[in-house]
Amino acid sequence: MKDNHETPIPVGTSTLFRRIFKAADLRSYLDENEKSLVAPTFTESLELLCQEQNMVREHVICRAGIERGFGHQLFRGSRKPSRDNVLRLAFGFGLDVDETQALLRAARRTPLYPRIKRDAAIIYGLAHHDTIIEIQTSLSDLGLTALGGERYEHSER
Amino acid sequence: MSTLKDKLASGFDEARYPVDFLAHYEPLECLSLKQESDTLYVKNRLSGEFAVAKCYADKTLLSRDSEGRILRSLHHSGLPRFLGEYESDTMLCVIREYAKGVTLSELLEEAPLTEQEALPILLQLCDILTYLHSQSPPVIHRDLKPQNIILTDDGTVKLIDFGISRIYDAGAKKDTVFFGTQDFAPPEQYGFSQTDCRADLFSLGVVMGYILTRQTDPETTAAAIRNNRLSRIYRKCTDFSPHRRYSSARELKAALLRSDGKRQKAALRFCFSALACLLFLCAGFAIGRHTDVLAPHSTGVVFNEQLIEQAVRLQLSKADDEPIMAEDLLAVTELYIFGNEIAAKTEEEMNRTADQLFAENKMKTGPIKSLADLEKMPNLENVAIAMQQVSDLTPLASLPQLQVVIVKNNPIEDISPLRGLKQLERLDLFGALVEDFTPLADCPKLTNLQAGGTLARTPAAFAGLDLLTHLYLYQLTLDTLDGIEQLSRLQFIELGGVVNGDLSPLLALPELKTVLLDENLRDEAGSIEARAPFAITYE
Repeated sequence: MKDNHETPIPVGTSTLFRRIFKAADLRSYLDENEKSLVAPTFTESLELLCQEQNMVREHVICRAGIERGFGHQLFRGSRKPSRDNVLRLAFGFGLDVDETQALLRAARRTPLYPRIKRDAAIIYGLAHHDTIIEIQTSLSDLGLTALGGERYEHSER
Repeated sequence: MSTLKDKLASGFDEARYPVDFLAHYEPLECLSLKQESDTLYVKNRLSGEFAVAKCYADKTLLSRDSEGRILRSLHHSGLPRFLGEYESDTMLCVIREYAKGVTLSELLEEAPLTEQEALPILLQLCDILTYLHSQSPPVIHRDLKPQNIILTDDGTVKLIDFGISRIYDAGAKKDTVFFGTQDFAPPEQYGFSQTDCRADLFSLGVVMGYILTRQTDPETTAAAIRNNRLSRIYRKCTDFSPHRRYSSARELKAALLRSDGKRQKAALRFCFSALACLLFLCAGFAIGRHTDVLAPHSTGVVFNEQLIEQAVRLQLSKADDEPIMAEDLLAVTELYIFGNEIAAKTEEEMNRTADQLFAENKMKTGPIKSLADLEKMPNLENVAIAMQQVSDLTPLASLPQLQVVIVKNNPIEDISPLRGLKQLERLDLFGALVEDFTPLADCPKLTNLQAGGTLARTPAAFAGLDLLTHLYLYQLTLDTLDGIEQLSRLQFIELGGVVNGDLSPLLALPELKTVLLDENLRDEAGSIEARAPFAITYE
């Protein structure tokens, strides 16, 4: 049987939740998952999501409406994603709000904030599993900046 | 039943922000959320430019109205520009320029910086603090920390977040409200005494230690800084007692420059070779003439131009008989000379005295012919050598830090040495014998140009200077304004005359706010006045 200490990292948070519930006691959970308690990086998160959702990179990039070459650079980690591109990928994966917030955290980008109209519209779109085209249309209908609009280059801080 | 989407369309929770703020800006992102304020990343709906809005919800806090007031009065390339302020019954939003780049804390996540990487950042921070502290009354930032220091894409440093800054009150004994960030704030900020400029120097010291070691504990940091000179500077900055710290950012900058082994070795090499040359000459003299060997009087730097030496002495506060060493010159960042007798400490002082001399008809051309002396001051940022006999600007090409160059009223024919001065922001070439200004297109920061009294004939003379926001053409008559629309960022233009009398090309400049005209253009202005979205004023 495989030793728990050699559990391949990273592990998704949902898996960790399941393990907490199944563990005999807290100490054994902490001991057995020591290496997985470190939050995954952005590229690790993308890989995990691909595994969990059984999707390939190409598919996600296409559904996120991101240019192909640039999308692969994001997956490889050779480019840092802007906040808007993280959100596009969230739509590409079909993530819910919590999963999107976790992906933003992993990318070191600010979380969605429901007091901001544009973020609220994005939260609404994620909750309703909008496609990228649907959310872009909603943003445009509300007079808000589209995700990854041409001049929206805020890639840092 | 109304859906969330309907609520969004009807204004949602943004209603708590001032209406005119939302009319001008679209909030895109919440950068930080604190009890007293939200910091939002916003987009100007009209221009598409990005900015940062700090929105204060609690009107009772001391600092809430001071950030806008402080920012509004400051103009420095190392500080974000103040863009506006919006207020409602419950909230105040202060808008500032967005500094695109990485924060120092992000930069340091991977590894500490080397001394060579750290020094330019620290020197720029010293310049910013010198500017803040030289305001009257001084402005104290009080929250200098890696998260508030932005390194922009072109390598310049910007200091942000004036949320807890204050204007120094000479009468107050203690700070009454405790702010600041643990580790980076000095003891007096916790109420030991009133914070003055030395509080920022304390924080800059901690930042310096953090840049070099990624630690903030004073003892371990001092031990971990390998360069002894830098370690001593660190200890002096972070001394518990403000009295034992550096007294000014300028003094700290001079110490940092002296700590730079490479520069110091270069200065020493310069001194040694100067000394060796002198001894060699003296020996030759002694052997050839069978006379006594001449003893060198001093190893100080020798200047070609007396007036430049005088201005340097003023900047360094050196008496006339004190020698100036090559390393002293590393601390000179500005020089102001006008005509045959003005050497001033600041630009304002120079202009004031010059106005007076012009009024009394006593202004005369100065004696300076060569700028070679300036090459000995590699950290020069602002230089004025006005109304002299300078025709060759070549020495300026080796001064990459130059931000402001005032060489008006000089017989200059060739401006190509200024090409590629990456930091140059303001240039005054009034009266230069120059027809073509296009070499300046290689200066990526040049926004402000005085080209009055030159030989320019059409706007084509300024082709490629796309970033210009201010163009002064005092005492210059252009044949035509056709082509001026290429300078699309222009906010201000001054015109001496236009031969064809057609001012309508100015109407194509989208950002133009003010046009200053010579009296002789009053009639021509009449024909565009009704259509002009900008103000027209006369000399």
